[in-house]
Amino acid sequence: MTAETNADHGLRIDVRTEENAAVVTLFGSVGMEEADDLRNRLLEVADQKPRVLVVDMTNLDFICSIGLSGLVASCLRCWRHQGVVRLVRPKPAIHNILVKTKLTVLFEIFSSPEEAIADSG
Amino acid sequence: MGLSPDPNNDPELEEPELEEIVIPNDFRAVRKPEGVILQKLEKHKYSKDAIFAVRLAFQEAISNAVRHGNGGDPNKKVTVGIAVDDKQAVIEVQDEGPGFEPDSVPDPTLPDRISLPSGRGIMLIHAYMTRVEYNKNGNRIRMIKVNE
Repeated sequence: MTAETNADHGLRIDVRTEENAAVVTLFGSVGMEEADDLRNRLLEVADQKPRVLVVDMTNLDFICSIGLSGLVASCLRCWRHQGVVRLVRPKPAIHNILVKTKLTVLFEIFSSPEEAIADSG
Repeated sequence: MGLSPDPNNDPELEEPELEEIVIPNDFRAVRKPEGVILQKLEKHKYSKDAIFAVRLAFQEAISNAVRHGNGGDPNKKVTVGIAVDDKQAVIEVQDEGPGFEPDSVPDPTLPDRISLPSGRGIMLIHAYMTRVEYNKNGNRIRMIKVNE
């Protein structure tokens, strides 16, 4: 298991990897300034080919459409190796964005990282 | 290239006097006008949801101006207009590009577009603001959020 942190700008990204899963935990805000950091980090993690890439949004306060682009890009990257991206506990305002953009079609939402990983079979 | 209100819009709403901030064509420059906007929204007691909505719409508008309108050109500028009172927040963003036709932007929620990484900004602006207008050239967007 590894863990690391990127604390640039208003976003902190913690990454924890396990045998078949990776958990990316977000703290703060993904605005235009932070979106590239998120995208790059998610793609790096996706390239490690986890069966499930969990994005824990419990402590995320804001995300813009470029941030959403990073999520979608990581989803497409994971599909290449039959992996999936799953989201954990987006706050109501962010859940609302996911609903309005219909990204809930792409991303299953779970109540904890453990549940998201356990459901990966 | 100043920001001039369009008097042909809703005559029931007074045309606000906009505070103008000109920023470089750089994502990092968003902090200053965003800070001004958020401070004004808090001062006028907008709800948390309304503040979230305006912040999101503003970021999307700036993102479009910087990347698409100005084509990422560091020599160009983005002009932001801000007017916030107890009734409504009016935010304008103008770039130096040739403009675009808003109706030509495809719906990102269509089934065949859901998995495309980009193209959600305009849709989000319309979803979160009370009213959205464009100038004739399509290089200035006016976003209005009514304080409910």
